[in-house]
Amino acid sequence: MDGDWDDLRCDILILGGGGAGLMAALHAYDTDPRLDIVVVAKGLVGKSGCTRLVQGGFNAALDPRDSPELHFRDTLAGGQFLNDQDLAWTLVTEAPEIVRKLEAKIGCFFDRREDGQIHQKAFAGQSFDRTVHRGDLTGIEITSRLHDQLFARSMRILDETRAVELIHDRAGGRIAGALLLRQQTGTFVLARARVVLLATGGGPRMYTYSAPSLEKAGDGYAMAYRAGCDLIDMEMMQFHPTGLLAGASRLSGMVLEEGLRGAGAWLLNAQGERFMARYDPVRMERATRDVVARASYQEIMAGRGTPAGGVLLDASHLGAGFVARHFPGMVARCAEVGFDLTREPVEVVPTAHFHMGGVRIDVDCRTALPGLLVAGEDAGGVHGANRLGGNGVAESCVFGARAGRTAAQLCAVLAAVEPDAREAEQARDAALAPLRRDRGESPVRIRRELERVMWQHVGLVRDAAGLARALAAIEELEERAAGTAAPPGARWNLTWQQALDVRSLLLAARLTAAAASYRRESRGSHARSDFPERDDAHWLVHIHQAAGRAPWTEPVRLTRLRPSDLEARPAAAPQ
Amino acid sequence: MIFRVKRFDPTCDRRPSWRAYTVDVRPKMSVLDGLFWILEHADSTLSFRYSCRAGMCGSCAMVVNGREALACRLRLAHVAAPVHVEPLRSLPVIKDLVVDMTPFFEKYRAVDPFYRAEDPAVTGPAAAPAVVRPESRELVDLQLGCISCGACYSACPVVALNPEFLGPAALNRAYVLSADEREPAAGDRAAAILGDGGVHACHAVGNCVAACPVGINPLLSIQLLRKGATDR
Ligand SMILES: Cc1cc2nc3c(=O)[nH]c(=O)nc-3n(C[C@H](O)[C@H](O)[C@H](O)COP(=O)(O)OP(=O)(O)OC[C@H]3O[C@@H](n4cnc5c(N)ncnc54)[C@H](O)[C@@H]3O)c2cc1C
Repeated sequence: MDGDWDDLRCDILILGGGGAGLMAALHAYDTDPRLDIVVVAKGLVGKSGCTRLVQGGFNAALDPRDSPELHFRDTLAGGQFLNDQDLAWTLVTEAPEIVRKLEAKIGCFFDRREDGQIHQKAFAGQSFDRTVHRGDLTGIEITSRLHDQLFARSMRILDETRAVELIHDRAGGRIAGALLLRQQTGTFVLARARVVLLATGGGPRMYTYSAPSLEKAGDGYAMAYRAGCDLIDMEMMQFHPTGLLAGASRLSGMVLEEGLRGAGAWLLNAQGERFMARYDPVRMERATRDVVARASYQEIMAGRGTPAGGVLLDASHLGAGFVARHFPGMVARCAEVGFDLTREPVEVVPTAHFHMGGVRIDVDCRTALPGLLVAGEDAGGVHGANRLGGNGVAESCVFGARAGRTAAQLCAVLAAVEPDAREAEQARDAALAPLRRDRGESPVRIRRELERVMWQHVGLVRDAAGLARALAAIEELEERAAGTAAPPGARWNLTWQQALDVRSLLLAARLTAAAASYRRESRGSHARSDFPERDDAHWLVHIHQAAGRAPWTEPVRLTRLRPSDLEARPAAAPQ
Repeated sequence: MIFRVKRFDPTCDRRPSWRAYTVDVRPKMSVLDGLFWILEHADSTLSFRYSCRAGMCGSCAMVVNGREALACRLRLAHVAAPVHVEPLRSLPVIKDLVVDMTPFFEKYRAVDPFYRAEDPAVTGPAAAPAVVRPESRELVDLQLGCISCGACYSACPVVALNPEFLGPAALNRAYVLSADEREPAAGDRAAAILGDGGVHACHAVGNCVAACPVGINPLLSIQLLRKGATDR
């Protein structure tokens, strides 16, 4: 392997083949079919990433009794006012049209009510049942139909190709392309594009228990940060309350969908108590995820967890027939690891699920760097301090569509510029380092240690001492990661890929821990035992981080709704 | 537990060879977990494909003890030792357990698998979702959730013998679209469905039904397409 690269030229380079990437591809193409579009994914395009894993569904105010205003209030109440209100407003106002597009143009066949209209189910933290779904495995339908539509259009697809680094132009003022690594051949590609869209889906896989698809590693955060973007709200890490406990299997941490709690399932501790009564007696299991996940964690820490270290999700009182009919995917998943969800409690544990933080964008998905757009989970700001279930896939589809349109429009005005070959060489050499090393540590060991550190110190409840320990540990792991080795042979070399993943995971972890130690209050998903109160007077701010700069804050702009507006009328009425 | 894994790198090996590994199995582990165990503890050069590890993405279909399965959903407690793991059949091997899915998707593409709206441009306004009564979509519902893993394609003896045959997954998609009462501009799929590689090439062996990890019955779809063609 000599490390040469192939050159590729295109108008729009889309990094990521999940909901955001695919929606962007379709919207860019249909805006101007002459554009040369390339879609790149680390996994198989349309089959990898977390949009595929969406279970519960997609929030949109479709019902005449519901409204984008109500959806907005719920989203801000859930996000505890840390949301960027322009982004959140865009989400809720465009989600209904995007659902109509998914159904009537892209062909997704969502479930219907008896009267033939689209069925919407109950999710937590919502004042109206507004979650559109296809059974309990909604993401399969959304991504498969989006993928089908690629076949009706002409664009280039690069499956199993990892974006390694964003590359600037020679002047350094804008993004001119990206260095890619094709897994099948083990060879590099230097792609030049007028516009690059980063849509790699974030991916908090640096915890002992985590939900995202296995290939995700925070690559997007790492690339954007190194390229000079600013990232916001990285301390805001959502833990889903009901990650399945499946022993030594990698299935552990995979989510049992929120619709179960929406439909009335209980959470019990090992003593059989419905413990949510102690934490949120009004909303109980239908409180927002931050509240429920933290309550479960506290039960476990107080010694009221199961022997395997979890709590119990019990849907049996809903009736075996009801559960089997409405949650067949969840029933099958539990059955595989020996639980009968229809008749008995299932062991669950809070699992790292979604990173609310990410790259700072505007409503058109532009970043501080010309030539670079970001959409989906790689972006920050939409969800504030806690994402509502059902708002994630809505975000990736709404903003993916917007990014596609923006990209097409930018192509009319942005000339193509040459990527800086020196920068690409450096990126390539850094990526090749583990492969060129004969001896070195296994990336897997480093990863396991990182997961433990993050789970222990940057998890559901944090404090200054733990966060300091975490930052020190991450620094040490970063040093060790600089010495990992992979066996020779660049083609489909999973160990090499793991080494590259660890590099991204460590950077994403560091940004998370640093922001967490900076925010000295508790809000949404970020709970500090040493600063247990929410403090609007001081902390209604985004924490920004950018390479070469100390973290700084900028106030949240309360352009549409203020916390006091909600006190007058609570957002999520209990049901 | 002994794993016997078929290893092959077509760029340097003349033919595939079986390699044995002793995997330290713990409760609830799947075949995919076993492969990860090998990668991390025994052989850092092993190649396999994965993404979701929960049966949703369809990336890790392979042949385990002679039958197609999603490695992530097959628990080791349910397979006989030694576990023989090999790549899907009828698809070119890229390395070890990773196959090239291109032929599968090329054939899928041949049926125009995309839903076609009156105005297909996604940038234009969308019509209101059609009113569809649950009972009228029962069959579509049963056959809709294909995860394009390729298990049926691998299991089909006709695919293995007749390179023209589009295979169960592609024809199942064609059926779902034909039965989807919402599609206004019913695509021109007849040529593919009724051509040499279409429904008439199927010998109704039914391996696809047993192989499907998500309970779809592609044979039924093929039979319904045939019936639709004769009824017309
Ligand atoms: C188990 C689970 C269930 C969920 N359920 C719901 C739900 O019910 N409702 C809801 O609203 N949200 C849900 N979410 C959240 C939702 O999935 C995400 O918010 C959303 O899908 C993210 O979309 P995306 O396009 O940004 O990223 P993804 O869909 O994750 O796509 C990322 C893509 O980028 C690729 N990629 C990654 N790294 C690279 C790289 N370096 N180079 C190139 N490509 C790369 C991946 O392979 C993938 O193709 C769920 C998440 C999980 C994990």
